[in-house]
Amino acid sequence: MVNGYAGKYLDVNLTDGSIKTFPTDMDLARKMVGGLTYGLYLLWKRTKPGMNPLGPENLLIVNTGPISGLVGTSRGTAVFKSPLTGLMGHAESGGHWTSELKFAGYDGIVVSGRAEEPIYLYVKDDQAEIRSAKDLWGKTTSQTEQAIVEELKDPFTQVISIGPAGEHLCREACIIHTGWHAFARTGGGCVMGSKNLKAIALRGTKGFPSLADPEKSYELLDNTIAYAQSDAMRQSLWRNRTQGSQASHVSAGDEGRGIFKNFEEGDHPMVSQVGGPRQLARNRVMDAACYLCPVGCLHLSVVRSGRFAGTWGQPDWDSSANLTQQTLVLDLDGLIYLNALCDDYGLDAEGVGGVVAWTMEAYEKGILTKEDLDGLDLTWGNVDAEAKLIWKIIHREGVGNLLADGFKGFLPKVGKGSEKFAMESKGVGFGGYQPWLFKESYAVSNIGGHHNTETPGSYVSNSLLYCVFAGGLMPQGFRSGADYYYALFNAVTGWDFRREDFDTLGTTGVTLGRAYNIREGYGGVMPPSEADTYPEKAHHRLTYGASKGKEYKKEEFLADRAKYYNGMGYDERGVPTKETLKKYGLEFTIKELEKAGAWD
Amino acid sequence: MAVRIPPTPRKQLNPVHMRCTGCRLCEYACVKQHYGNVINPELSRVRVYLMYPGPLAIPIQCSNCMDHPCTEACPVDPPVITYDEKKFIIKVDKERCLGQRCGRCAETCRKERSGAIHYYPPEHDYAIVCDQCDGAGPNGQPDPQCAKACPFNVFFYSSPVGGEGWRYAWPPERIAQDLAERFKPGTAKKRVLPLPSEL
Repeated sequence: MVNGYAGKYLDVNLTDGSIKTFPTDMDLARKMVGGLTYGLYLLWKRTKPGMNPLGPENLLIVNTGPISGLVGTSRGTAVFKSPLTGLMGHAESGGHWTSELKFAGYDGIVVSGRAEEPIYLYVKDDQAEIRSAKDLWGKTTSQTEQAIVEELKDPFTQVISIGPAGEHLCREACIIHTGWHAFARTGGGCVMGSKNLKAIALRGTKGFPSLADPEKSYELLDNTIAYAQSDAMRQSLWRNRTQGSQASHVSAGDEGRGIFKNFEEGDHPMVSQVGGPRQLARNRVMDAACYLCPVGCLHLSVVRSGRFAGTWGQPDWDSSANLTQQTLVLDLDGLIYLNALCDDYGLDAEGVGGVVAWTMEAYEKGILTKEDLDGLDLTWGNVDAEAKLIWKIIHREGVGNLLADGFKGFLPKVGKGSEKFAMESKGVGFGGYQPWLFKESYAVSNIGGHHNTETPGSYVSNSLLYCVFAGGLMPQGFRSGADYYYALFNAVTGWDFRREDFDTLGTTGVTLGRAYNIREGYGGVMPPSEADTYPEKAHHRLTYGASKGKEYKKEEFLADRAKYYNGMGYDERGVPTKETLKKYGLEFTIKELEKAGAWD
Repeated sequence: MAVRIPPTPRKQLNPVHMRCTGCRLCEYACVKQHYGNVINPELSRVRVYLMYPGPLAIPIQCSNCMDHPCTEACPVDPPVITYDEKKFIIKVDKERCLGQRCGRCAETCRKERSGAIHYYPPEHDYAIVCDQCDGAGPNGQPDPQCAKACPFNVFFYSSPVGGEGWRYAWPPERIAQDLAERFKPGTAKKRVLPLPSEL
């Protein structure tokens, strides 16, 4: 039975242009479920160790889970070897493409090879074809989407595409859907660019796959929709519904967990100038939601006057915090503009914000001079200079060519102690929170400095594929959003997963990810504990406002990390023990890990 | 000479386009009402378009036009697509409809109005048009389920002047441009993003 699953994957080889399908392995799905964990398994099995992330042998696995495309679950994942870190890379995005892929009858798409010329992949139900994207090359993501929809003459086609950043192989490049939904982190857009794959256009008309227990499933869905209209919804999801993640700017400052001046401080007197209520009052024009989501946490904003007038954007917390709080651009119009610039040109706003903040600090400290920066006066809060630097990074012009390689690429070239204040782990810049809040999270994550990607729970949500932002969706009788998703998963698939089974799934995913990283040499830094570290600056003491006195000491970090390793069943060097691998059914990794010298 | 005033509907489905988030729960509710437990937006009488700039989400369903050009386009005699003068809704005879191979009502609607008619061959090869959930309400009256399911209160089932009913049977492109022009004049035709070099 393939309840909830479409039952097959699309296997596209761009080198020889062949398009095949292969069935979803249901025995494996029982263990790995789908989404991220299943995608990681495919990545492990279908690639050889030590491959070049930008070579044709790398895979782009666009994947969904069994409950993707239902109420509060319209998310999907992209799994690949990251060009930014040289380790596993994954990114999730919501929107309307997940459901469209399932309606077309596929659980996911595995893209390999490299096309000679720019192309895009068009999937409509059982037909899939490779079409020329020569005219689309150079277009921004929003232009690409409009052009493809116009070409196909089907307004319901859903497109995921890359912008000029991905085409120029900027390693922070991301994949964008409907103008603002981003597969942001770890450089998925760069992988697509290296394959000359401009976009994937999806259209499905077959409807959602069969459900194991339709009555129970629809009862759950209907209860959730009814709940979404009740007052209870307004309480549990009030924040995301009215303000979205942008509300975090003010609350983060109030709690001392904001990120200002390249993580120098956790609070700022002018924080109320950006995000949250002020943005809603000045700039919000419409809200947006993913498919079948009654939350609608996205708030589309437009700049109405001034230099940036006419810019449409959908700033999100992590991205706008890194782009603007970090660089002290406390200008709401500038915030929306910089976000729109990154989204439209297909650049991970979160990652590039950290790079710009680092550059500003290096400029302040004299490590980089004005000549090094092509004459840009990168002082804190200079929005013009920041926009110009981002433009250079997107197009790899001048200093942008250096910075487009990501932290891992440019830090050794710059040197002079600049790595001490490079707020990154394994090449990926930190998310929008202070390290004292997320503890060892940034350091031990499989993909580098991103929050909520190191826990088994995050692998569960990314494998079933539900949205944690819609976690307030709790129909009658459920104590938490996760309980609703778990019940929905069981009703849809007909399996009887209990809480401990989900925990096992999560730990399996995290451990498989770590095993993959060790197989790839952990980015040249072995053993893993040598790479699972923080830069010196992450341990400094905050001094201003609500963040005064907050500190994440190195000893504390080492203790937390040891606790994490222990809890996950890893040894003190961060390598999963053989017993752990066997316990989670990952015996197939042992041989290759021995070859990589994991336990030497 | 007495002027004959045509009968006007008491209630009509009026969307407030500005409120739509594009969650498409209306499509879910519509399909559920008409076909039971199925999730397939292709069968929905209301379709949500994502239109640039933005993209903005624009819900489109049959406006049950009082002059109903689609009924005049029907080649079958008597027409399979008709206007119910008492309930003020469009009705389709599923059995006799020629479906997509004819497609004249959909074509007329697309050319002259919002383009709210489509087909789903081969299983449901007839004009799929909003009937305002005829029969779902008390005493067999219409009761649109999309209006009930919408978490953002986009649809008003009210008198014709409610909501933004003055955007009467406009196609989605025109509604998106109208909205964009209201939000920020000059952005309707193309997305304006100043280049950094122009700052």
